[in-house]
Amino acid sequence: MPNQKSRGGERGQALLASAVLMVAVLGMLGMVLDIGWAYFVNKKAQTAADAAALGAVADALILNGPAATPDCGTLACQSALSCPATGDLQTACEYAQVNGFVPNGEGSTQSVQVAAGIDTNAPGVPNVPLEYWVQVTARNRLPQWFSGFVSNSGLTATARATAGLRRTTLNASIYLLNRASDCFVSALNIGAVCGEDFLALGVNSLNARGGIYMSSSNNTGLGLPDVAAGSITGTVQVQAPFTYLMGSGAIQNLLGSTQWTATPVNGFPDGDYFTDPFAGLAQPPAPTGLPNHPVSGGVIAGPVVLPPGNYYSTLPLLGTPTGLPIVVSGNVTFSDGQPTPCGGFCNYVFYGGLVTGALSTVTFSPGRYVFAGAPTVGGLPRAGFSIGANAVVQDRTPLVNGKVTANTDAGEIFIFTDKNYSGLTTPSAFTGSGLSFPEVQAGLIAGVNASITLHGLNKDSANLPSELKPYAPVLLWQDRANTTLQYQANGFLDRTCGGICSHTLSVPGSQQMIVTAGQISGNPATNLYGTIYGPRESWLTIVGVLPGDTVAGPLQIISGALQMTVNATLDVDPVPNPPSRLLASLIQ
Amino acid sequence: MTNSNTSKRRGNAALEMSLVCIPLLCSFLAIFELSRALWTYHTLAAAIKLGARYAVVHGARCTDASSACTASVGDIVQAIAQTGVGLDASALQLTLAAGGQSVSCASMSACTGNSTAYPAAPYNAVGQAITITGRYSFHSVLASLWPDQGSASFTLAAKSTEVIQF
Repeated sequence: MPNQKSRGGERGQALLASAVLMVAVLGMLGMVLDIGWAYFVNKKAQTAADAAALGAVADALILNGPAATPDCGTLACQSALSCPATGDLQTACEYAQVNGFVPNGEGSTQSVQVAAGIDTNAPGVPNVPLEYWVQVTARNRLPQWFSGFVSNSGLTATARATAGLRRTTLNASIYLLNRASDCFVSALNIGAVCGEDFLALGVNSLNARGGIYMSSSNNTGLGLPDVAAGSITGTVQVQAPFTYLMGSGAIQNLLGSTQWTATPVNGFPDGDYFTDPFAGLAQPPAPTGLPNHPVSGGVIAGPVVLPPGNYYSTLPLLGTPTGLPIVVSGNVTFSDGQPTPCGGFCNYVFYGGLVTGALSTVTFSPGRYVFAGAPTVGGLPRAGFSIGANAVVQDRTPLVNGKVTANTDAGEIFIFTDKNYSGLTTPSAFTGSGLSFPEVQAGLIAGVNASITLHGLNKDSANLPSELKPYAPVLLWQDRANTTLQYQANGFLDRTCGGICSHTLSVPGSQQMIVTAGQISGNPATNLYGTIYGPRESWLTIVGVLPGDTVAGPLQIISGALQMTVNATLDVDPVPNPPSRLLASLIQ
Repeated sequence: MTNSNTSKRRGNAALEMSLVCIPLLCSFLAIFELSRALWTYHTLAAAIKLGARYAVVHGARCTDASSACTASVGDIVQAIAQTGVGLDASALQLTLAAGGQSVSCASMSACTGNSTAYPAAPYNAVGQAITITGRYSFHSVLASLWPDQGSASFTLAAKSTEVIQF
């Protein structure tokens, strides 16, 4: 009996022990399941919030454009509210939905809230000045399978993402935009080449103190038509604090020697530095309402002050337009004759191009100068602006101790295009003339001993028209229609035909811009202050004849490619007041 | 006879209990430890991912916006530590890699005060990938019961690669 009692007392011990253990084990298992699920849902919520915030500001950038200051009229602003939303914020809701988050989704356990504003700092994001921000919070209340035994207060996965539009300045000296797939006939004289960003032929020197970016990912040793991102034939010395190449882009020394300091670095992914800084910005607007100034015989002899207007060459007596360039000689000033010309900013259009004669002195007042088409010469493009030997081309800000200094006036912009440039009002005399005024070759093409001193647009000048402020400090602008790549009016590449759309140029080779390097008494003769802009698939050629021929100044180059030939020196400092643009970023 | 039978059965319960309990305890312990390991792994993976996300919104653009926005190795490690609640800082090895710049931390605690900017230019450019790898030494009680495995541990590894956004 005692034994039976004893056994009876033991009965159920295993069950009790098992139950206790089972609670602990299942509790642990449950916690793992709950917490694991919570991590998973949190990750999903973060993905949805990130996509929503970034999608909204990307949409906002398209709506606002890269230059304008965002405002709550163009873009949606609101305190934190649940979807649906309006304007660009609707994009946030759509992206959240695509990523599995909708308000009251999954049995009313989900919520998506969107806030947006133009305050300098987004809530909870100090230190990052913004012009527009969007903040998305995605929440999901989680079921408690086992953790409810510990706490029934509920688990909620919450993720917040903040994206914004921030203005960024373009500080580098040289941006070369050609990609591996961009082809053109280069100075190598070997037919079309693809993927060329930089080419040096002869004895050249490049000092780019603001650094260099190259967008071609072409490495060395490729078969034609593909060439390396950079190709050197002859002797070249390059000095830049950095040279960054996209992907596997590299510099190939074809013949001669290269000294490149600091050593170029490749491996960079596609990104801001390798895209057109002016993408998304339409071309500079054309001047309107200008009076016509037909030039009989096409020649203007100075001294003379030429007022704003549309200038074109005509036949003497008959007065019919010839389409030929206008030739000026002697002392010529573009101005309305007032102490502050044209109230601070003048507008000129030259149909057929402009040629300054040898020994002439031409002074450009602050203003917009459009070189709208010129006849071809033997099937080759004609320069929009040719400068004769020993000529002086200048603006109203002289050199100081032989160096170009900052301008306080509004500066100049030279636009190289054809007569079809958007917004141009062509003279009625052209109707029925049969003149097509095809694309001019852009640049400053000068004879020996010519002196050139020009300044780009100055956004700090009150006289600069507001419509041109986004383009400061551009000095030379090449028409985007003057490349084989097709651009939309809004400044983005046209991709409506699958890839990038293309077209055939009416004058092959017209997309080359040329700037002549020179020297006078051992000092640089071409002194430029500002930005030279050419679209992707165009190229800029710096030509020097004698050792020491130099292009100098605080100068920034944005072009498809840069070529330096014969004996050219390009010696450029960073532009003190560089262009800027809005960029959309996920910031927190 | 009855007593004799009873005495023959004496110890049966203990024997049965021990026969059942040993595998049962082992099973329970295994489930418990596996759950703990998975919990730790989930925490590790979430912490590493959050660290990578923290890094990718503190790149070149962030530095351009404000020098206060620049992230250091220590900042990234702190972000990992804040999410990795319950992780033993001395048992977590970290490797941060971006382009050609790599930083290894023998333990999380060893890098908490590291003020080296990370990633440094040019590897902080938008579009550049950052990879953070964490290797956590998980000490299992179960493994300690295994013969000759007194201080047994195994490594939990988590890796997150993200592209710099800002």
